[in-house]
Amino acid sequence: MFGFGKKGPKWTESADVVVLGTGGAGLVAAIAAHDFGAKVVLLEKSASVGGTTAVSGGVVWVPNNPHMKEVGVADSRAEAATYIRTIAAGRSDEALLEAFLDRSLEMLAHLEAKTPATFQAVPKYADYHPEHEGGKPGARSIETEIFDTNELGEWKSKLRRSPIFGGTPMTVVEATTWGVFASPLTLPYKELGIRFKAGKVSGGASLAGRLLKALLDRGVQPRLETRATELVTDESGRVIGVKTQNAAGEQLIEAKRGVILATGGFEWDAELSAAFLTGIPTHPNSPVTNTGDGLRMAMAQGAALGNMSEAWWCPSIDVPGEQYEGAPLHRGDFAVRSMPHSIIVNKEGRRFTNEAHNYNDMMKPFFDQDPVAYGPRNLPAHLIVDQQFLDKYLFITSVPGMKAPEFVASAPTLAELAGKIGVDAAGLEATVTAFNGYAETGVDPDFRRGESIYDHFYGDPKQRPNPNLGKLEVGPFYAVPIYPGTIGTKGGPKTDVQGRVLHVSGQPVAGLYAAGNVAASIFGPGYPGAGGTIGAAMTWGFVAGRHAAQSK
Amino acid sequence: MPEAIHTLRVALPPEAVWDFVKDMNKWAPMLTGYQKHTIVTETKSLWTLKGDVGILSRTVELEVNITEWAGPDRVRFTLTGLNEAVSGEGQFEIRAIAVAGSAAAAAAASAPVAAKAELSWWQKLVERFARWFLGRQGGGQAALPAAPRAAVTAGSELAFTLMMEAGGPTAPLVNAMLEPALIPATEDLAQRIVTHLEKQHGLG
Ligand SMILES: Cc1cc2nc3c(=O)[nH]c(=O)nc-3n(C[C@H](O)[C@H](O)[C@H](O)COP(=O)(O)OP(=O)(O)OC[C@H]3O[C@@H](n4cnc5c(N)ncnc54)[C@H](O)[C@@H]3O)c2cc1C
Repeated sequence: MFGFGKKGPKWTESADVVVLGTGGAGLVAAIAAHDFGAKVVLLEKSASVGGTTAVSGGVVWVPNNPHMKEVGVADSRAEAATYIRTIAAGRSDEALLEAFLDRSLEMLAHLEAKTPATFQAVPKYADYHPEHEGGKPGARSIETEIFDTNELGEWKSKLRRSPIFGGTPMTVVEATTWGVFASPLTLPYKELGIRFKAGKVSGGASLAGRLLKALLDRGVQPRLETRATELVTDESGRVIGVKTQNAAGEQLIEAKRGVILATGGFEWDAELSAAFLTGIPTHPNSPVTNTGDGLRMAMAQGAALGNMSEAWWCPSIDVPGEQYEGAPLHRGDFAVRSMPHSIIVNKEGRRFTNEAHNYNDMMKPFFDQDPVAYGPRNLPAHLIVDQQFLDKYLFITSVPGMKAPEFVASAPTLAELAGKIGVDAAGLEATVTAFNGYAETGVDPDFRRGESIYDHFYGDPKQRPNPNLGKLEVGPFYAVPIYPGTIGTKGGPKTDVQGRVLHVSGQPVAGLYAAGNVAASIFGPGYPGAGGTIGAAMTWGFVAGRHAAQSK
Repeated sequence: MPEAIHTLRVALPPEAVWDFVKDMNKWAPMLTGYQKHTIVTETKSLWTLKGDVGILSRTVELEVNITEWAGPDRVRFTLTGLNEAVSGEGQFEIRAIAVAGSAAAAAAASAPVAAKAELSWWQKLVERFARWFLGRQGGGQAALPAAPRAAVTAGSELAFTLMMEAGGPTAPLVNAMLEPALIPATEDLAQRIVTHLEKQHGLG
């Protein structure tokens, strides 16, 4: 509590609800708070709107959603409940899981009825464990269509875009129909160029752009380059406002009905990562402003914390020299590792995971510890491909027909390549011999690569008998380091079914809400399907915004 | 072919501008996205630039070959991508002109001839620069003079042109992405050179 004297703090301005952060959680929280009757102030630390959400694929996971019927996929609340219980692996709150199933549909209905954020199902994007009970082969994942950024007027340039695929305005439905992974040269590049020139965006930029448009239509303009630094409380401990910092100096903004933390994860904060995470995601894929500010604010109020050791893990590849907003750009690898003619090996030249499985779960073995060597068993790790891969697929920055990128190690034989990258040559050769055998039979007995239909999404349907298994046999061979990364952490203050932050005592901290990656994820260590992070972020943003607006 | 031209005026004779432009070591680091360059022969050099072009954002290795060396008027070069399917050409052109005798007036009189760029945007930018310049010189007075009244002196017009084109099947998309990247690149380089020259010659 600030020492403001009897008269209380000297507010610079006053609002009903103050939302911190403009990712999916914050944008939806602000829309909901406004629509349920609150005067809203929305703050953003960076110079652009959208956070990690805007650089993402923009896919949103809502089980049992109404668009599933449009593409002929049946679902039910009961199946979804069974499935998310499996995903959460007993490390979540049952009431939150139940609430998610209903509130996510309310969030979706509200946005589709009242904002430009409308969605279509992605029919072939399978759940991340589709063979588990209640899992689905697709369509729980939804996305927005292409968005024309000119609709944002002068805010057009303030919308964050992905430095990697933000320039390619195509939806996931289009990309997969066109065969982006297996036949990248067949894409309609002329049409894509025309869209790009016309200011069209897709994915996370489309989602964030549409949500921003909804806010601008409501007269709510995000305050950019304005960082929330501290929560302000009254004598009872109720959160009544927030202290902010921007170029104009320090402000105190009153929040009569509540403050909503939507500041994203803490993956860019080395101290918090070292303190809490199972393994260090040295190569985060999110914008650099996600430094756990909201987590620290919640901790200062005595919040109970949950799921702190977890992140939405994702392996990363670096293109040396690439930077994004002053920090190294780490590219999340979703496809290269899954396509035929590729494997990931440790320094012994051994595979250690199903390379083609979902990024969250396939990455966990990166952190395996060797108890005797007292160090990571599987780091450093290398992604190895052969010339066939380069001839057919996108390889980091090269398209088929181009030379391998210059930062990639290459050699005519596997043994020579192993020597160049410090990997055991005999180990690598033995691994590739075994893997080539699996490619022939179509079965990978070691790691079950290409067994799940999830794996096939990022596979080559032309590759038989298994779309994820192809031999590494045509030199030259290529290798690039692959690092542990994350698209965002997912531990933070625990919340209740209204999105209120819980105190260590178990009671809500009055006036304080949290949504998105700043909060403890309801999915524990798991990732239900494409859009699982943004779907939950938007759902809890909606719940928190609505509740805060309606509270006295 | 995506193309961008930027022209600026400077109150220095062409020889002074040429003296700077002819040595690429001097201005190379002023190029947006510049990482490094190596001079191989008198006419050939290797450049590493970083360009953000959407899905294909990356570091580009270029071979630059000087095709015309006509100091103090012009230097022309071609660009060939070593790790990318890109090619292009460019030139610096220096023309003797008469400009008003103060750097501020020179800046105010600077006029872009970038036919392919958004003219209003250029104009705004140049005007902003001029206002800043005048503001700095005139104790915060930001009004542009209707016509520079200072004595006329020998000056130069420096035009930097850059054209780049992607090849291969992805070309239509990459070219669309290249265009907006080229415009600020040419503008920034020309501007940085002029600013540097003015500082060096005590005009700023
Ligand atoms: C390449 C990539 C692809 C992805 N694809 C998908 C996908 O398709 N579907 C999916 O579900 N997930 C995806 N993700 C993950 C997803 O983007 C994130 O998990 C999600 O966007 C997090 O949303 P959020 O609102 O919690 O936080 P963010 O979107 O990270 O937003 C947090 C915002 O808070 C701001 N902020 C931080 N501190 C402060 C402060 N003190 N004051 C004010 N503002 C502050 C930040 O600047 C940021 O703008 C992807 C991620 C990446 C990197």
